[in-house]
Amino acid sequence: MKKLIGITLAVSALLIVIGCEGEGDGLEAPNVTYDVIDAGATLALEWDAVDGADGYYIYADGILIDSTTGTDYDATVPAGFYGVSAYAGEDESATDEVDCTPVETASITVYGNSDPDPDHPSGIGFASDGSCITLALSETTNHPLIDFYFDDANFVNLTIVSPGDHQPTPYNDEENTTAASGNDYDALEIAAEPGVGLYNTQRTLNNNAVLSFWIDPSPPNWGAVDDYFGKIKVVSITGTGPYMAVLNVAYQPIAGLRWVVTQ
Amino acid sequence: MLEKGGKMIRIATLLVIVACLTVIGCQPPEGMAGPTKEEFDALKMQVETLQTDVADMQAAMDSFIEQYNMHMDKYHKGGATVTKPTTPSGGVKPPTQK
Repeated sequence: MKKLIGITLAVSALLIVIGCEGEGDGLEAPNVTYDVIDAGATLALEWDAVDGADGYYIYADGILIDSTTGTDYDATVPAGFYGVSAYAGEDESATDEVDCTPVETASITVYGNSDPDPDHPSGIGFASDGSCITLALSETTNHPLIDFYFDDANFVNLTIVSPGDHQPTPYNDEENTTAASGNDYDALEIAAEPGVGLYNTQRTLNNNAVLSFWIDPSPPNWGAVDDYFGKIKVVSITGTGPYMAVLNVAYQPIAGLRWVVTQ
Repeated sequence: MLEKGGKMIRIATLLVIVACLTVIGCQPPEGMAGPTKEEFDALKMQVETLQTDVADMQAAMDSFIEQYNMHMDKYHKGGATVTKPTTPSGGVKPPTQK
């Protein structure tokens, strides 16, 4: 009886070892890191060599777009996800992905700063998760958080303004700007290029307009550390002053990257 | 001689009839006649009036487009905005373009 139990245990152990053999010997997925270069237009992917790999497949939004035998790849076509897998012959590892999708906040309502209700928000900012939050200007603790405010007190039309432009006291020191980017929100896959005169700290809002935005806490040049980009769709503007506007906002959480693919 | 003269009269009569029929046959049917000079002149005047109207419309369109482009350049392309003369809730410094 004891002999039978021993044989059974030995066979079981053998089966376990054989069954798990594949997992230990398969190709490991590359561990992808990235840098943002080319003024935010390019995501430079890099990874350590995977033992036994013949090369690496590059995926954009789950679609195989390229392969390389090197350990880096410059992604220049905006996408929501970029992925890299290792391959050896017919074998392929799992894919390591970089999430480049912007954080979208839909249907936020803001008011021009001539609105008499102190609780009506005339400012917007971005939370640590990238979502857009509205901020009342009457609350001074909100001032450091303001990335843009909406001014119809100093302008005939509702105007999006950088917090650093407010006088006599700026809400904060950021020099945030917007650029006109057509009318098609989803068609805008990369925010306007910085540093070529497209961005302005004050811009009149029009119905259905799409704007690129550039949050620049350390102006004036583009930076890959603390600059952030995104896009705004002006869904509607109502009123004749004070104005009320409804916006859709997409914020790219990767610092310096201008990709804003929302489809 | 009399017989010969009678033949000539018949021939002449036939020729007159043929001539009459030819003239009648060549007349345009009723309603198919071309415009009278008065009608033609009136039509010509209408065309000239239309040409003048089109030219005026073209000039108006050019002026409108020019005004529109000036407006877009001034208020939208460069991010410039229309400020109010007073600043009731704090002012703004001049915009920065970059």
